[in-house]
Amino acid sequence: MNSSVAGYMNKVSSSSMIEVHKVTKAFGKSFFGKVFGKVVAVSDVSFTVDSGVTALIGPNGSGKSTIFRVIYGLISPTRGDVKVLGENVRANTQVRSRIGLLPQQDSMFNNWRALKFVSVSAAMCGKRNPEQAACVALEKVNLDPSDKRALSTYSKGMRQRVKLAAAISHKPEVLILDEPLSGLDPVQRGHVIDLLRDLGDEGCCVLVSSHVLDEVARLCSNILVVARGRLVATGDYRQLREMMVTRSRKVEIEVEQPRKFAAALVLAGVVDGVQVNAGSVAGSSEHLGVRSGSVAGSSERSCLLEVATSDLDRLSRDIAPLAQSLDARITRISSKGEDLGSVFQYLLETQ
Amino acid sequence: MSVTNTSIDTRAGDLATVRWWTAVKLCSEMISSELVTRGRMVFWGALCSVLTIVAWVYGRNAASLTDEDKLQRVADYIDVGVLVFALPMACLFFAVNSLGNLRDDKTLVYLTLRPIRNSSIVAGAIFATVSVVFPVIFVPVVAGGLMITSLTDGFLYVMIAGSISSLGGMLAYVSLFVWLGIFVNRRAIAYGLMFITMWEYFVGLIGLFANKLTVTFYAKSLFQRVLVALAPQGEDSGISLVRCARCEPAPIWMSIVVLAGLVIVSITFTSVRLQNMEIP
Repeated sequence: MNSSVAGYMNKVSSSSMIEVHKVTKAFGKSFFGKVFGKVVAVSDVSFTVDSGVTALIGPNGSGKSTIFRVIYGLISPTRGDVKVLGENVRANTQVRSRIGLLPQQDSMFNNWRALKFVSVSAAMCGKRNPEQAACVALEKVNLDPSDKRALSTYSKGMRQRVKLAAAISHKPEVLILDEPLSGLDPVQRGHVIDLLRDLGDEGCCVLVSSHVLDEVARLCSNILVVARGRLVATGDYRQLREMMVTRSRKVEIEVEQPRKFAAALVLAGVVDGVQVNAGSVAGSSEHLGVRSGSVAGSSERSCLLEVATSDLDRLSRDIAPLAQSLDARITRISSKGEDLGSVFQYLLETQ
Repeated sequence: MSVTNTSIDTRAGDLATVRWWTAVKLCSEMISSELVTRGRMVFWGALCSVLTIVAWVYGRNAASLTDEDKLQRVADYIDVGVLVFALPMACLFFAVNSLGNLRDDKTLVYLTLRPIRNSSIVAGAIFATVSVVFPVIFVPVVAGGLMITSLTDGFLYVMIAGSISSLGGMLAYVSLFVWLGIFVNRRAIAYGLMFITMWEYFVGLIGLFANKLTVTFYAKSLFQRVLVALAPQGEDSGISLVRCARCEPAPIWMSIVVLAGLVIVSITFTSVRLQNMEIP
C-alpha cells in the first residue's frame, strides 16, 4: 500500500466510503406523509463502495441518476439511508469538502471562463490556493487554464472536462461522477479513463455511472448493475460478461415451412424453445433468401420463428444444413435482445 | 468506526473551513453572473430613463418654488416614483430570478453541492440582487433630486434619506422575493405582482393599521424620519409623504427592526426551503 493510500485509509477508517442501505425513492405528490400517483424510481437498493473505481451501469431510465442524486444529497430517499465517508451528506454539508461531484446537468455559468468556474468551485470547498489548484486540475483534463473564452463557447466534451476539473480540484477522497465520459471524443475518453484509474489506484473512491459496457470494461472491474430501479447484479466485469455469454438469446428466423423447421430445430437440440408467429407474415419479394446455400428472390409467404437458444454458435453452425435438408428457404435471420437494455432485462429476470 | 466531524476539520491541511461571509461572496459572484443579462439591463435602463424623464417633467417649473416646496416635490417623487413603484418592481424582477433562475436552468446544484450553509447561499442571492438593483434605483433618485431641487440646500439630505430608505426597503423586498422565487416553481413574478398591487398598494390604503403591515410604510417612514433628522430645520422642514401623512411615521428604530426582521425571517424560511426541497 503506498503512502497516499495509507493516508486515505487513516482518514476513512474501516467503514465503507459510500454506503447505500435499502434506498427506495418514489416520486409523486405527497399529502400528509402519503405519496400519491407515485413512480418508484429506485427500489430497495443496497451496496457499499470502497477505494478504487466502481461503475454503476444500467440502461437509460434505470435509476442510475436517481441513485446518484440520493448519494449527492440533492434528493432525500423515501426509505433507507445513504452515508458517504460515514456521514449523511444532506444533514452534514461539511463532508462535501471531501467529496468531488460531477452532476449530469450540462448547464453551467456560461459567462465565466473555465479557470474561474473551477477556482470558485475549489474555493467553495475550502481550497487554500484555489486558482493554482484550478490550473492543475484543468491541465489534468487536458484543458488550457489560460483560455480566455467563455464556457458558452465550449463544446459538450470540453464542458464535461471542466466539470470534471471542478470535481477533482480540491483532491477529494470520494469522487461521484454521473456519466463523466458522455460527450467526450475517443482520445479524451481514453485520457479521462486513465485519469480516473490513476485516482482509484491512489486510494480515492471513484463511483461512475455509465450505460456503455465497453467504456466500463476499460475503466474498472467493480460493477454494480441497475435495471428498473433495482440492483440486479454486482461483481467483477468478467463475471458479468460471462453471465451475458451464457444467457439465453433470442433469434428471429423468417422461414418457409415454419412448423417443420421448428420441429427439426427442437429435435436437433439446437434450441431451448421455439415460438411460431403465424400472424407475422413477412414474406416479400424484396427479401433476399437463402436456399441450399444459394441466394434467390422470394415471392412465397414465410413465417417468423422466435427461437431461444443458449448456444448461439451451434445454432448458427447448424441452421443452414437443417434448412437444406428440409428444402426450406430462410429469408431472414436476426438476433433479438443484443442491446444493453435486453442484457439488463435478462439480469432483472434472473433475480 | 465512523468518520466524525473532527476528522473533517483536521484533514490534509490543504482545505480550510469556508467562512460564512466568504461563502456569501462566492455565491453572490455566481448568482450575479446569471442575474445580469443584457435584456434585463436594457429593460431597467429604460425604466431608469422613464423615471428620470418623470422627474424632469415634475421639476420643470420648480424654479419658481420655494426651497421647502422643492424638497416636498422631490420627497413626493421619491415616495411615489421610487419607494412605491420602481423599488418593489425592480426587486421583484431581479430577486425571484436570483435563485429561481438557477433552479430552472439546473445550475443551483453548483451551489447546493458545496460544503456551505444554505443561509450563505440565500444571503449571497440577496447580496447579488441588491448589488444589481441598487444602481437601478439610485440613478433615478439622484437624477430626480438634481432636476427638481437644482442643488438647493436640502438636496444632500434628500439624497441621503432617499438612499437609506431605498436600501432598507430594497433589502426587505429582495429577501421576500428571493424566498418567493424558490418557493413557487412557476409564475413567481405573477404572485409577486399580486402581492405588490393587492397588499402593498391596495391593503395599505384600507386603513391606518393595514398601512403599518406593508413594507412600503417602513421604507417611507425611514425616508421621512432620516430626512427630518438630517435637515437643519428638523421637524419644521415641512416635508410629509402622501400616505405616511395619514398616520404618524414609524420611528427610525422601529423601521430598522421591522425591515431587518423581514430579512432575517426570509433568509431563515428560504434556507429551510433549500434544505427540504429536491434540487433539480
